[in-house]
Amino acid sequence: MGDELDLWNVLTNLADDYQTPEAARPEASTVLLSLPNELLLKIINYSKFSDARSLALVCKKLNAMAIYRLYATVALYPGQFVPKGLRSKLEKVSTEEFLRLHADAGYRRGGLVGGLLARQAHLDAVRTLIISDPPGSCVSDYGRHANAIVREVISRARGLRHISLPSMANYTLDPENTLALDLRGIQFPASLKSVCIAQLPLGPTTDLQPMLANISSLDIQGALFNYDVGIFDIGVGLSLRHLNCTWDLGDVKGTILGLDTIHNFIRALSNLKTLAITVYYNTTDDYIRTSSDIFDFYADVIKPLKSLRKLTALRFMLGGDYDRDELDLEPSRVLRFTKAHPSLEQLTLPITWWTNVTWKRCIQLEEDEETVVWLPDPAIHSRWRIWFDMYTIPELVGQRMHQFWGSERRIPSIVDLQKWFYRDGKGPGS
Amino acid sequence: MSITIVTSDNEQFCVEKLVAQRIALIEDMVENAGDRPIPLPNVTASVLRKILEYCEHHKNDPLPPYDDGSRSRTTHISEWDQKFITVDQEMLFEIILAANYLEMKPLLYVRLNVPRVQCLTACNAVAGDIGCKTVANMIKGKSPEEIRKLFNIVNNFTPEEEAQIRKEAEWAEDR
Repeated sequence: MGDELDLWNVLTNLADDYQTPEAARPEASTVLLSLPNELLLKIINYSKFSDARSLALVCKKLNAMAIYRLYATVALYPGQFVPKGLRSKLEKVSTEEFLRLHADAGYRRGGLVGGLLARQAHLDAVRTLIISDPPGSCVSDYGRHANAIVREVISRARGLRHISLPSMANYTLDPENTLALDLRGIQFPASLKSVCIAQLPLGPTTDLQPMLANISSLDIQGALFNYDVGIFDIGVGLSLRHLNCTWDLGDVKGTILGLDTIHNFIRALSNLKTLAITVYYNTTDDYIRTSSDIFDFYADVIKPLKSLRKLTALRFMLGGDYDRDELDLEPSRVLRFTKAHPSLEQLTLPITWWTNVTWKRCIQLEEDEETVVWLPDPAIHSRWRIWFDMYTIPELVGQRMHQFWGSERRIPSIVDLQKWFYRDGKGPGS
Repeated sequence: MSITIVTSDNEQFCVEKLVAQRIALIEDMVENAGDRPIPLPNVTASVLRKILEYCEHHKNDPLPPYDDGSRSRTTHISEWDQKFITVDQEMLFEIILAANYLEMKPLLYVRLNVPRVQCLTACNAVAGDIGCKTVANMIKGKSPEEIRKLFNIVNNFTPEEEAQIRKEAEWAEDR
């Protein structure tokens, strides 16, 4: 729907034909610069990036506003600060000289770092900082300089709200060189509320507490379980409201220990409002044979979370046979969670190994009595419905979808989905 | 039911209450004013006339989608709105200022009694926003010098400052 709206806006965008009003009258009492800052910011936020750059060069007042657009989201690539050919010459180089080398190398990204660090106002404008491509080491000459720049940006970005970090682990066997990105000892801005980490370190855990202690949202795209440690204490506090974490229990030797650790970690986060949990597990372990076992585990994990309103519970079986897995569409699965946690309002579960459905808690009025029913997200419902409106019967829908998308792309359970969606006009749980 | 509004230049407007309630500032005043006229000391008659024209045209618009903060940067403006906002610069900025001062919100939000905080974040189609989009469209593709000329802005950078700022913003070229 969003795509269609964007397309409609593009097709009907009359802005290019817009007849520019005449230039301002010299004696006009109300002019662009007489607008308050909040309205100037609104205009700049509607402007294209290149136009914001032009505005920054018009005058001091517009410059002070435009930097909030130019530097609102900054992406740094510390692994590419200086070309590899120059890295052997960095032994006695200061960070300032390193930055100059970076800019001289003709890297446009280098200009961004220079521009960002040129003024405190630029750093103050940063709201989202994305760090990709870590320098690979924190002890090499190159790694020290690259880390120093990253650390300076983070500690001086006083309005930073969201930070996205790459994997911080260095996969060399050198015990002195276990971190690719070194965040130890940084004074993180108090404004930081949201953190996304691609992968937590494999080795000795970095002290993440200064970064995580006061945030409200955490997204860990890959948490590799460390069986030698047996605990998962990364320093998050009770201010955490939103957690999205993918755990890899791929090693069969300790699935029970892994699940216990996850259980203990999550149940301590008593103020969570939304939780998205995904576990990669190995079906050759006796502890989890079917996906039903892992969903039982999830239902148990959420019981103590009294504030939880939205849950996404997914799973990936390593070495498992998805075709033999039970039918994920089973309505009782939704009921299993909603009975374990009656105050849930939204639940996302897989219906196949690659498709998820979001269910929403709804109140239906029947004979003056309010009944709770769980219905699939209307957006998904309507998306499927278009096909049924057009091709009428499920078999034809399946056939047309295969023709449209190709046979390699599975359209599983479409018949079941159709029968089930339209069974009696309700979802499960009524 | 209607209410009377008095503008800064002492012109009186008789406005349908439902339309006036779209203007949060007036909605607050109606509570305490009783039958007395409501003064708007910061809005002239010509600007209020435009604002009311906008309210009247959009009174039956469908509810805009709730904006969760990830607001689209589209500067699309409908045909009627474009004609509405084709005014001289002074009037354009007066409309933007007045819409902001009056805290305008979509009429359907009034009918549905949507809380004001939600109205203000969700509202992306009021006259003020159309004004801001129009200014963004006026700026589109222009050089700093052309923008100065269009809006009658004096360049208050010294040549050294301007050179430094150009250098700092080099990375943003062609993006």
